[in-house]
Amino acid sequence: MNEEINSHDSLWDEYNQSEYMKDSRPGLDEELIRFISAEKKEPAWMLEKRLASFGVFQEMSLPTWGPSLESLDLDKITYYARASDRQAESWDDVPEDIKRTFDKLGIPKAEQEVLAGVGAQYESTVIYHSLKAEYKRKGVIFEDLDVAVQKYPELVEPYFMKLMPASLHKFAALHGAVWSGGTFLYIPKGVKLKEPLQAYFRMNAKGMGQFEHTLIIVEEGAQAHYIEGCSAPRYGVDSLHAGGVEIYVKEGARFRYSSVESWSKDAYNLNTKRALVEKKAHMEWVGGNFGSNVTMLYPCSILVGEGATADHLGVAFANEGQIQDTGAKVIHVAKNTGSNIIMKSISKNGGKALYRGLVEVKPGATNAAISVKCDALLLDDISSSDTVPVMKIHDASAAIAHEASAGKINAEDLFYLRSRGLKEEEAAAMIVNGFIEPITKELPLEYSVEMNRMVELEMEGSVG
Amino acid sequence: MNNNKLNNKIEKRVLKDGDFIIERTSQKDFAQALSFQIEEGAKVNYLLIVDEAFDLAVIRQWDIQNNASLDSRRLFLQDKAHQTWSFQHEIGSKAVLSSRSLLIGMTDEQFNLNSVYNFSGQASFGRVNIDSLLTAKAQLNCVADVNVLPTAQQSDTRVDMTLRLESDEAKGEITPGLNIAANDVKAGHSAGTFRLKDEDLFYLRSRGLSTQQIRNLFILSLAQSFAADLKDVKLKEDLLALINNYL
Repeated sequence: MNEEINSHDSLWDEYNQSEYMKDSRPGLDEELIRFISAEKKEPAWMLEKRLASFGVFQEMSLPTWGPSLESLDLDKITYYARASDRQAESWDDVPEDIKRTFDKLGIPKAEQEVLAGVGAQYESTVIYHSLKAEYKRKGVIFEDLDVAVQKYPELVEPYFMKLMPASLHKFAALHGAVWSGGTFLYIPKGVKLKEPLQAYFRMNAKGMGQFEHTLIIVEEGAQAHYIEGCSAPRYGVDSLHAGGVEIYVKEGARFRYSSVESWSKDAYNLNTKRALVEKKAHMEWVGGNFGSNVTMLYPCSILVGEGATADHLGVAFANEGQIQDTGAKVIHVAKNTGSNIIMKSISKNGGKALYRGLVEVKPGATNAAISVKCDALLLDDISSSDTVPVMKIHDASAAIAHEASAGKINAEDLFYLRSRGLKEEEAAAMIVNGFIEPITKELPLEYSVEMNRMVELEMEGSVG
Repeated sequence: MNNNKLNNKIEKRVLKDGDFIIERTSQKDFAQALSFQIEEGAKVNYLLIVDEAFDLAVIRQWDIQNNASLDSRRLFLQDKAHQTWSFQHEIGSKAVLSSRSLLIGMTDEQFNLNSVYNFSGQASFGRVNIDSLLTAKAQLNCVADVNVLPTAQQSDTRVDMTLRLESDEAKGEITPGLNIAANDVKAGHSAGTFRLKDEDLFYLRSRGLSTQQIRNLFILSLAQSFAADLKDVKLKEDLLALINNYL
């Protein structure tokens, strides 16, 4: 494994001097929202949507369930900062200071080797976007969402913030008010992409908020895989990530959304991800949550078409001082729908991992088949793991199976690996990687290796 | 049950080895709120039969002290009631809890069943099984929270919940919570929903049984399982007869 990845903390925690922050200020008011909208030269409907969301945000209170968010001071967050004046299509055109960070994170290398397209966002603005010419010819659109609002309003407006309306919760409303950047991905009818597309989001400056919006439309019979990566350096000052992901999977389409999130331990990661899955379509969520102070993330699939299915696979690693409150929601609305949820969590050094899930079978959603499996691994006696799976069954024909377990690393397994010459720490990391293997095997090899390596880094000093 | 019989005061009872407590809501002296303490090392059996409708909240608290054991069975058979039951359990070191509940809703009952199991003692052991069958417009909201506290190392806990909806209008919400703050433990839970399949019904109908007869047979099989290892043969027979009469 290369030296850069080995120095995990210094890799993620390194930051550039952020000159552009001089023009930014903490706090949120209507003036800032109008400024963001004007600077992006948005159409009137978007400004109206932002202001309406801001109104909802002001009225709503913080969630009363889940981890405490009281120490998050929303008045100290900087809600908008523009790191680059223009978007680059060539990696060479990306500003040098920003490029240096992404180079270290391996973004251009990954693009050259495995990706069909890549987008990179630094603070509030996308600074680089590219897509294979072959896919452009097929009509695939892979753009910065700010640009897509201007270029493809007929595709954006009917879908934007429809799946995650501002009324969903306070941070959805905040997101609706100040969203900036993100990805717009449109896969035309019948187009099947073999290679994954990727976007990378980076919060660089101190006390920053990042609110990128990912809007994905997968037309009938299309297939694609999209990967997001996220990171931020550590400052000792809270930062906030409240992104939004909306995915529309049309009839007969298949879509996989993967994310590997490695936020700094100053970051509140309060993300909203939702997918609407139509007739005989299939949606897959694959997620790895590392880092952050508090993560609250529950990707949601709404199965509205007959025969629609969804898979939710996730890993969460809660280390010292961290709360990983993650899970999945599946709402079965149509007949003959199916969902499969597999969640793995690891807690260490007092970290708290929590699976919070909702499976809801609406009246008339006959013959829903649901499987939920959650496993937790506790690496010491000061860490904890909670499982809160809520099942609302309003149709008698549903078949649901839920199974959860929690425990520690088996001493016999450790002994066996040590007898093969591994150090205890290495053996423990190997066992943990085996524990999360059902999720990592669903990722492209490079990302699977990255996730395994992140586990090994989190495991350092865990034994003995 | 007459509502006047209930009171909000929590009455405390200390249970000794060999005690067998049977409570029926149709009994005159049924108490709304009771707290039981099982002495160290004592083995206690408990049977609750909810066979009369009323619309009030009932509380049962259990303190299972070190090395004690509780075999708890709870049978819910009432009609047309909206009830909230709260069961709180504190389980001490090397204490054993075996809890089995069977809920049968045949009309428009609404059951709210909240159970908390706090495993606080080292090497404590718990097996909790909650089985339900709802027909007509019956509704169940069932929460079973297992809390394994930091002091409960080497504990072994498991909760299994089953929801059987045998009509289109029956509804259920089940939440088997598992909160673990100790690392050297075995802890698990499961939840499932099931319904008799059309193929099963067809087969049994072809043997001359009506749908109602099939459902009753199914409930009686659940009842057999509920009462399976009761040592008191007379009590077991009475219990099965009670369920049969209810059907």
